[in-house]
Amino acid sequence: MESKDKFSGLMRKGKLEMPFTDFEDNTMRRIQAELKYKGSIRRNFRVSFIFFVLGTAFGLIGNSILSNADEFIFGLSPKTVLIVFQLIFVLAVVTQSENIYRLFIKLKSQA
Amino acid sequence: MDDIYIEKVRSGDREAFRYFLREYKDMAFSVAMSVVKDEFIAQELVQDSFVKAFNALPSFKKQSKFSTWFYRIVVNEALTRVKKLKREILSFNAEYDTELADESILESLKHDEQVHLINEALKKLSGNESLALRLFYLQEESIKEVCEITGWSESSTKVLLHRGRKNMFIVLGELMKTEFY
Repeated sequence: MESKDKFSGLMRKGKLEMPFTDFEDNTMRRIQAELKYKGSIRRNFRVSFIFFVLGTAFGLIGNSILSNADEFIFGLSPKTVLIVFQLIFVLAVVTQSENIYRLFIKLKSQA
Repeated sequence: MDDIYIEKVRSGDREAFRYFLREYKDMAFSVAMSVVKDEFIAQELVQDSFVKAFNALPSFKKQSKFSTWFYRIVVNEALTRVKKLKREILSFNAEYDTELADESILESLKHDEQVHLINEALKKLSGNESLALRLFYLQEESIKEVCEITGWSESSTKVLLHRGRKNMFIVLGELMKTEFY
């Protein structure tokens, strides 16, 4: 028992102290910076989402306008213009959805 | 006291987190050093652990003490870091015919010399042994808490403590021979 106490006393002398005096300040600065970064990701996500919804709505409106058009646009038939528009629209929606999804994952991992 | 500051941080007072930094940085550094054996890596991973703890504080359910919860983060970070670095941390293999340190000689040394010897010896022990000894004796955690922090079973913790104690005396004996004779 006495030997165990001695060992315990001995071990207590092995407590290390953080040798870096600026550790506290550095850690607090890092926490603040990460919070700021997280805030900016949240803001970016919100703005991206709003623009995505707006873009999709305008795209749908454009699509319906073009599908009802019966006049040639820049010398192209309304059907051709509609197909080109729809292709661009789908491509834009798919790529932007992916970007928003990535941003969402980033936001989740930071939370 | 921890609970008061946990609530302060949760209610948005970020500066209140300094309390945890002040209170736990040294022990977290000791725990990290047990595993990684390098001051700079230990400092880095302790900082990462504090940042993780800060982010996870809102979800801390107080099922265990803050210290237990936090040291578990530190230990996990340290083990992940060791794996990542793929460093081979030298583990001490005891030869059982090696002479054990004479406690009376050890006690006759100056305080600074004792501190130096103990820390050098802990560096030479394997990460697990050194971690078990530090948590059990330095932090005075119970075996149950050591198990909670490290994820080891009770029997392996006891074995590690027993082996760690024995190896500690062997390493101390060798160090005293090389450094003081």
